[in-house]
Amino acid sequence: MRRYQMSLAVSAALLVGLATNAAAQDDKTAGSAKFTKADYAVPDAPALKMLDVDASKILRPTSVKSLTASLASATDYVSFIPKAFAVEFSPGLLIDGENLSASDYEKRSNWYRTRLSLATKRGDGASARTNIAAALRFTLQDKSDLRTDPDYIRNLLALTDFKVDSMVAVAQIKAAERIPVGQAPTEAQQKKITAAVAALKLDSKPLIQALKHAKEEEHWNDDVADMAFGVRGSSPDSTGKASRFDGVAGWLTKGWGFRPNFQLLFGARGAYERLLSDTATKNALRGSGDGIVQLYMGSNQYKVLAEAQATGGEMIPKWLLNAGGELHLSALIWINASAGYNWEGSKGKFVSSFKVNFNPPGS
Amino acid sequence: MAKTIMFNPLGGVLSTRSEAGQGTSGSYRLMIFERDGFTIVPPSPIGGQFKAGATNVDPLPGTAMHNDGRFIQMLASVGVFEPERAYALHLAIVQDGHDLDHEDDTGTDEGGGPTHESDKIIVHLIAKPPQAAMNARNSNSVSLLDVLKAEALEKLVETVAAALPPAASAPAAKKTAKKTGGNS
Repeated sequence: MRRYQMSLAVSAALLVGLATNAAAQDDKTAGSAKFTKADYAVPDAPALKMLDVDASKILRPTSVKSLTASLASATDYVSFIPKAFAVEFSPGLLIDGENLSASDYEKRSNWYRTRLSLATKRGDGASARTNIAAALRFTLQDKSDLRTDPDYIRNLLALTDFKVDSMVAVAQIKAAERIPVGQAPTEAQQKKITAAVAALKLDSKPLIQALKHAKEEEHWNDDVADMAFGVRGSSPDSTGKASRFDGVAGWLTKGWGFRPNFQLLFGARGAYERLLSDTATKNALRGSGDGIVQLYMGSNQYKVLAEAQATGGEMIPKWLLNAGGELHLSALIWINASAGYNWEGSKGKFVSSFKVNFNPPGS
Repeated sequence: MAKTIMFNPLGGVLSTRSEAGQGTSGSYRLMIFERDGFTIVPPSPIGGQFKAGATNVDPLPGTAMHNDGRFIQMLASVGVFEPERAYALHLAIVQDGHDLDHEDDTGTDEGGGPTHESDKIIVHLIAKPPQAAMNARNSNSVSLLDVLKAEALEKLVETVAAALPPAASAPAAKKTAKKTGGNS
């Protein structure tokens, strides 16, 4: 969450920029997670965070074959370590995913929620080092996992039943037109099919809305427990020779839901690492840490927040006391606002933030 | 487009096993078409839901031989989950407890909706030639003599039926007419 000193400017550029962020949000960003994700929640891909790699370039392979293919395309014939590569996946889903039934997922959901991220990054200069990071993220408790949520599954099955029955109707219309299965209809036949389907007035929107509602309303203040560990290293060349250890980092998020209107979140991050900008020198490893406690009150549509943050280690300590809120004006737009006081060493200042978030239709 | 799967016409009833991967839930329907590809075979559509505890084994109508030349299309809709939005669907043809073969549709959903729909899985069922069928029977520990006896009996019935006049080929009707005192 960026903080602007006493500025409440909302510009078109901000709207456009935030639209991109909103589109990239995943299922678990509903509710309070939206607020915390940016700074203190366990990152989706911790290895990318450690190297400050752009998350939009991440690859998410769904099979071992696709992973090896993307690795092969990233590694040219003279380099062993790719110049820029970022990948994040669940090892369990990668290995078993194609044959993994809903029953099997339920039995070992912690394993399938465990995710591995890998990233490499090399600068352009002659003395630039090749940085490599690897991290594991564990989701030990996640009542908002949609695959195992009975309410979500019930709504999902209602929607998928409707969808396949609609597909059956189309298949029956094609059969009546004597179009063999698997054969594309002619233009004239397609017009007839389109007209016949339109006459059926099939509308899945209410079921989709019910599914979205089941996803968001029930989960904003669920119990959560995430943790992640990562390690970083670097090498003066792309073959990995003379590589060195550059640091470790860990994250922890624990949330307690107090239904129906409260959630208490605790987040922490600790690191013992060199600065990423230290490419050619051998500066010492430095320790740092952040902690945050947040209390949310409200619902998925509106909520208020009180939080305390602290940053310490071998650097100037920082403190922040903050309060704010989140308001969903519609499915397309929501607003975050906050104000607080920030101390950096002995100096303090007033800080505030105002963000208008735009969720593009269909995202 | 359709995957050909060969079965033993002398074997047991054919059935399908429908499965969804990626730990997801959803629904499916199976459309069975005659060999022309568009005549729907009752009782299709048959189907069910992919959910925890479901086995989703559906017997095909009639004997194995009845399904020679038929097409089976799986229509499916499954939930897709962030961040991968991956889906996997499988349709296996089963006979006498063994998977004969299967067809799959796997990939990553490119849309933005909560579900992925598939109509790509189409299977064309073809009966194995007689010799291959007999070999298959033998491999299932059924004697060749049984197969030959069954085929000889079938041929005998066909020959007798062709040789007799039409009325004689319906002995049951004749018997009934006699009992009631009617002329036949």
